[in-house]
Amino acid sequence: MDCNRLHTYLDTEPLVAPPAEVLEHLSQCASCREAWALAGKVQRILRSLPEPYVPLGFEERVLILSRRASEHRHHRVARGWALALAATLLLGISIGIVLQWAAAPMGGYQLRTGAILVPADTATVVRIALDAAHPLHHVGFTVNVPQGMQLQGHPGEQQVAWSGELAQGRNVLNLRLVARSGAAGTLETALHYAGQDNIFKVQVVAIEDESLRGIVRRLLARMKLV
Amino acid sequence: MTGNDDRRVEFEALVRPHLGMLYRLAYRFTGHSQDAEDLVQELMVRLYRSPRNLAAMPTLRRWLVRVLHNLFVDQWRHRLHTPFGHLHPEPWDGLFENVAGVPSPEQEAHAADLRRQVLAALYNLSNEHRALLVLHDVEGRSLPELTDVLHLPLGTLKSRLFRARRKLRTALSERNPSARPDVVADEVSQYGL
Ligand SMILES: [Zn+2]
Repeated sequence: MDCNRLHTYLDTEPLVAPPAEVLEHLSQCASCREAWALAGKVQRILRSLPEPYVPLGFEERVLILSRRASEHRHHRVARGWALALAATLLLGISIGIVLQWAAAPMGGYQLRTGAILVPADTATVVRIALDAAHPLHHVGFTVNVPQGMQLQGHPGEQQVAWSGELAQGRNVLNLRLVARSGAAGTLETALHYAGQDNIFKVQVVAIEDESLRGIVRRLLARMKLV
Repeated sequence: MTGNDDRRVEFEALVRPHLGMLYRLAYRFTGHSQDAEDLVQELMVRLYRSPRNLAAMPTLRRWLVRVLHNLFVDQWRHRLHTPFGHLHPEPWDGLFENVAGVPSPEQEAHAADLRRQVLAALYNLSNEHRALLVLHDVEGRSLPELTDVLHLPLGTLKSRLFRARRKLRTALSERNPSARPDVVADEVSQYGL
C-alpha cells in the first residue's frame, strides 16, 4: 500500500475495520495518519448532523402556495416572505419576518426595523436572519419583549439575555412570540459585540385571528392569488 | 366538488405525509430553510401541473426522493442566500439555530470549528456531489440502495462518491495543514495502532 492507494481507500471505503495493509501503512506514514484522522472526523460529523427542523405549518403552506402557483401558469412561482407570511397567517399559524443584516465587517451602530401583524394568543415565530462575514465569538444577545407579549419558554420575562456565537454565514434567531389580543409594541433584539451594539426593532401588533384572516385575504386578492 | 377537485384532494392526501421528509432532504441539499421551502414548492408546482397516478405508485416515497434529487441536481441554481454552512436546527434552548451556545472549552471550540469547516466545504461542492454526500454520508443510505432510489448505475455512484469525498477532503486539508499530532495519535489508536 502506498500513499495514493491509501487516499483512494479513504475516499471509497468506510473507515471502520481497515485491513492490515492499511493499518501497516498508517503506522509508518505520518501524513496519511493525519489524512486518516481528518477523514474519520469528517465522516462522523456528517453522520451526526441533526435532523433539520420542519417549520410549523410547512405542509399546508407549501401545498397552498404550489397549488396557487400551478393554477397561474404565467405567474412565476411565488416566492418570498410576504407571500409565505400571508399564506401562513391565512391558516392561523405562525411565521414571522426576516430582517437581514449584513455585517462585513461588523462595526458601528446599526438599526434595522420592520413591522408585523401577529395572530393573538398563538405562538408566532419571528425570525431574524443575521449574515455574518466571519465567525463572531462572545456575542451578547438581549431581547426586549413588549408589554402584553412574551417569549415561549420565558413566561413573565420582558427581557431575555444570553451570550453565544455567530457562525460565518446565515444565522437565524427564532423568537417564539405569544401576544395578547390588542397588544402592540416594539420587539427589540440587541447584539453586543466588541463594544458595538446592533439593534433590530420590529413593531408587533397582535390582532384577533378573524380580522387577520380578512387582511390576508385582501392581500392575496391583490396579488391575484385567490 | 368537480373531478379536478377530487384529484387534487387525492393528490394532496398522498403527498402530504412525505412533505416533512422532502423538506428535511431539501434543507440538507440547499443548506437553507427558505431554499428548502422553495425547492419543495417548485417540485409540488410541477406535480400539480402534470399529475401522475401517484396512488398506483408502490414506492411513492422513494420516487419523491428521486424527483427532488433530480430537480436539485439538474435545475436548481441558487440563490440570493449565501449557504448557511450549517444544518443545526436549534441547539441553544430553541432560540438560536446557528450558535454554539455558551462559550465552550478550547477543545469544543476546535470541534465546532471543524464542523463549520466541513459544512462550509460541503456547501461549496456542486449540487451533484453534495446531494450524494447528503444521501450517503449524512443520511447513511448505502450505494446499492441509492442505485434503486436514484435509478443510477452503481459505477456512476461510486465514482461520483469518490470525487465528492476527494473534493471535500481536499478543501478541508487546505484549511487544516497540520492536525495536531496528539489528536492524530488518538484517532489512530482506535484502530489498534
Ligand atoms: Zn502515506
